[in-house]
Amino acid sequence: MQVAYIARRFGVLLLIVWLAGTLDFFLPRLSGQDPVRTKLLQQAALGGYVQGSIDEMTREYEQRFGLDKPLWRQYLTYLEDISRLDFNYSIANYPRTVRELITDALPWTIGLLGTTTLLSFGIGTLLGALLAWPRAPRWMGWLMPPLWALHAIPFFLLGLILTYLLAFQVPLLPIFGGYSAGASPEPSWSFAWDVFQHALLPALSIILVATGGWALGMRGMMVTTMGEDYVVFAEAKGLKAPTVFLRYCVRNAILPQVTALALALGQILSGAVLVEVIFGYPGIGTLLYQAIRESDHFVIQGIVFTVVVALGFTTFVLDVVYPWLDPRISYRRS
Amino acid sequence: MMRGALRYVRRNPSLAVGIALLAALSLFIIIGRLLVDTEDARPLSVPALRPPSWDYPFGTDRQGRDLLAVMVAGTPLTLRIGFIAGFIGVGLGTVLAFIGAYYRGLIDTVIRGIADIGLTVPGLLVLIIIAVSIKGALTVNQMAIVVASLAWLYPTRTIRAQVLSLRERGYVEVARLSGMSGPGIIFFELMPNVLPYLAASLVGAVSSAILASIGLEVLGLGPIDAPTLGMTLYWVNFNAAMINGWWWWWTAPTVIILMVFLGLFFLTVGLDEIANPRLRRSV
Amino acid sequence: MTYKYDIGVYIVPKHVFEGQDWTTFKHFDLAKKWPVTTGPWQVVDASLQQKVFDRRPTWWAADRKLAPLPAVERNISLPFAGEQQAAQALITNQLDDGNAMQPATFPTVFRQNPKVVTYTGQKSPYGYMDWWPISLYVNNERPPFNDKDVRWALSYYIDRQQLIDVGYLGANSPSKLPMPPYPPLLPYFDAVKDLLAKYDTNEFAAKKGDSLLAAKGFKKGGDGVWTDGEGKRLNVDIIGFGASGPAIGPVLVEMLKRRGVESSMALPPDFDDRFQKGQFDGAIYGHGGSINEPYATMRLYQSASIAVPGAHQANFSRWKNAEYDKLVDEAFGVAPDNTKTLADIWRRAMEIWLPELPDIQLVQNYHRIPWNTTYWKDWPTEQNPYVNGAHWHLTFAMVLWNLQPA
Repeated sequence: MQVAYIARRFGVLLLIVWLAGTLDFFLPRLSGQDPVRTKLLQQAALGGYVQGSIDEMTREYEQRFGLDKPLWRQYLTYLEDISRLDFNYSIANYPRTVRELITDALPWTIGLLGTTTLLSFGIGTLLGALLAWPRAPRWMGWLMPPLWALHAIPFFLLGLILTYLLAFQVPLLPIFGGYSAGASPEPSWSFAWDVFQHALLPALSIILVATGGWALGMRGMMVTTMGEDYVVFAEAKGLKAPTVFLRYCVRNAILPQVTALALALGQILSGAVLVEVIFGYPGIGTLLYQAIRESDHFVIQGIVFTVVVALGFTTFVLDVVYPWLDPRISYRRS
Repeated sequence: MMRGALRYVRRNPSLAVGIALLAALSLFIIIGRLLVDTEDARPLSVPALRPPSWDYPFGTDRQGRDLLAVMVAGTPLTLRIGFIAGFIGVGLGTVLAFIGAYYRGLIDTVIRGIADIGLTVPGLLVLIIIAVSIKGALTVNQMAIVVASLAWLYPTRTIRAQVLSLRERGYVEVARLSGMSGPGIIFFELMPNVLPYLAASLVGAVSSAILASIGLEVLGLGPIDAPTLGMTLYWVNFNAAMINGWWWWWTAPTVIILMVFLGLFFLTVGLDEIANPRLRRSV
Repeated sequence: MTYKYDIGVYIVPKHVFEGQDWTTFKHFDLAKKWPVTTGPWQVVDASLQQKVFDRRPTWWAADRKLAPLPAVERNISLPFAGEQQAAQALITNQLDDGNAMQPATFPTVFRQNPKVVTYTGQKSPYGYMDWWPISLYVNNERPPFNDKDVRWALSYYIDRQQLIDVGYLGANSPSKLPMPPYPPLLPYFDAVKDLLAKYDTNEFAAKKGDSLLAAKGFKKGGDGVWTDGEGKRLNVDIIGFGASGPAIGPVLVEMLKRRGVESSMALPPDFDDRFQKGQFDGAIYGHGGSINEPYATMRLYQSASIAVPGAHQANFSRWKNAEYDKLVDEAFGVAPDNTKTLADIWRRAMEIWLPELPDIQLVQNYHRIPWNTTYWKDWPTEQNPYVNGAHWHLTFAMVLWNLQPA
């Protein structure tokens, strides 16, 4: 049973990967743009009147990279390349390869997103659970409206507001970048502190907004759960309140929350992209933004593919872990 | 009747807050159109960079646009993108959800598969790729279609889940036994019970669509001519309005965007409570 | 080796490049100290975050007493994160040399950090004139823009002063000809002074535009838009890019609309492609032509230049004139310092070019670059213009050489 389920989910993952690759391949080509030729033209322009062999260079380049073969051949080659994570060179930052650029930027995004998602999910879920519990302290109720209000704001908008308040009006925190100019990444406390300072505003923008959402969702789940028979039974049995709270209510209410987390990953990432752009934070978001501005198609494709696959993989992991968390749901086909 | 409504409002304050916010926005737009000349939302209309005053309550921007006019003209544009995309999304999503959930089998698997896979893709990224791949630049309506292309995914999933649970209810069996046809059952039995979910989904879809369109515009991929909220933020960024101290330039769109999202959000919560009575507890 | 600040022939070391495959060779390996350069700085870090150049401990030119070792020990290039961030970094002294900024931002920066200067100190226009005067190009191969009267009408409809006031807060000047009024070129401006008086490329006279269009059979429709005999509206869809596009594009659109010319503005991601292939109605772009003699600018309008790929010496307006072509060829054989002969040929060429007005002259392009004198002085300012100061030009090394600690 288990194996069949996991195999099916893995199959879905492969499907996602294939779809992402195909989307990446066909969409940019629909517009008929030729980024290689454009870049070569730009380079030629820098060389003044030395225009003569541009066509030859383009031809040679295309031949070298298989761009003159029929479309289906290119497609197969493309699929093969990306399965090896070879996304070609970055056009704008030649000779860096796309993979290098993404490898540089990805840890920043994972760091920011990972921490903020975990923190907001954790805090939000806990808050939501407490808020639904009738014996929670009364003052907690006052937390809800501001959390709700914050939750409705797009990440980047809060980012703008926070920047204005905490970086312009009161120059408390740095405005942009991942670390101060000139510092080289190194494992040291001062560098870590530098990174922390720079990450604080982007992280706050995300955490403040996302927490409310999780709290709201958890509260809803808790309400549903607390009405269930087994909770009433547990209370009637005389179990202590914290036990009922944690082991009966939270334990069960958290499961749909995890599903919601899996579903929300895509949205969180979209919001984080904009946050990164606003703050010039050196993650995937900024990389993507610059690639858009410079029409660096290979980078754009590489990023989209990487992100889709990463999310697909995370969802896969969550999907596999979920039934293990919730014994009510078996691995059988539902 | 009024007493009943008021009592309900006390029990479901979110709905009231949401409606109130959106009503305020609508009033702003409607009255605004009557009082303000929307032509002033175009550049060169008024002196540039004036802070808010009696003449220009929202101030003016660097290219001579009256920001009040921009808000009055642009808010409906932004909302329109959201509504078009949201409606198409939910409409398409509902149809697909019903077909899948009712008929089950292969078609259900396909629909569900596509929706699931689509949901793991961050919408903004796909929109960005579409936006940079299109020849030329997007108009407001084109952007709505682009956003709509992804807006059906989430509604399909949620509505399908709802229909699935309803499908097994008694009255559906009765209808089927009494010879009602498939589409008939869908329309007359299932649909009315799904309506609250549809409404909540619609509001959610509109909200996401507006967010997506603003995101694209802020990145500079939107219709540069249009005085939408997102484009105003783009100009704010381009002209470094924040550091130059032209606070009124970004305050107006920020406040309005906040109102839009808060209004839609509270509306969603309120509708959720109608749909799921178990959530009825005052905050 | 440059011949115009940011264009030139790149010299590469043969012993490194020989035998390499040009499509895959990167010439970048920090351990091997690649890229190999002859200057006093070498690359020590190049990532998305920054590019760092450190001064070499020993430099061949300093060792042989050919040149002093420069004072700048480390040069870091940072990615541009937006004008607000750059301005803030200047104010807080985290940045010494910034990207070109909007005119409006300069007073704000000066107020908060009086040590920031530009080429013109702290006065407008906050920079020096670049060799790239900006025009509204129209596609001469597309009707109705193949008609010179339509082009002149469009020119008459544009108020350059208002464009400057609104688009650049007054920190710019109109451009009469597709070349900048640099001192070596002034004699050529003089040579055509009377022609310019007759064909004023900067004139704002809506009525003249109206009568030109009316004479060509255009009538204003019910919606106030000029429509030709077949009911087709006069429409100029403008594309732009970078900073010049957003700065003046919407204003241009508005000006044209007010005179009854339908217009729109877009910043397409594939701007370069479309512009070079001639897939546009109108475009906002500059002229990469002459800086000290008129031949380069003249060649911009030669028919043969349409086929030139790239962004500089191409005939983007796609205007063709056989007589003009011959004059350009005639100028080719003349020595650049033979002002008299060149002026004569130039004038004859302008006698053809001016009535035609292949593209509509708008404004100059200024490099408004902020420099922070908190830590370094001797930037190339008006008082000491030893070289142009753009750090994206190949000549920037000369600036780095000259800087002294403040």
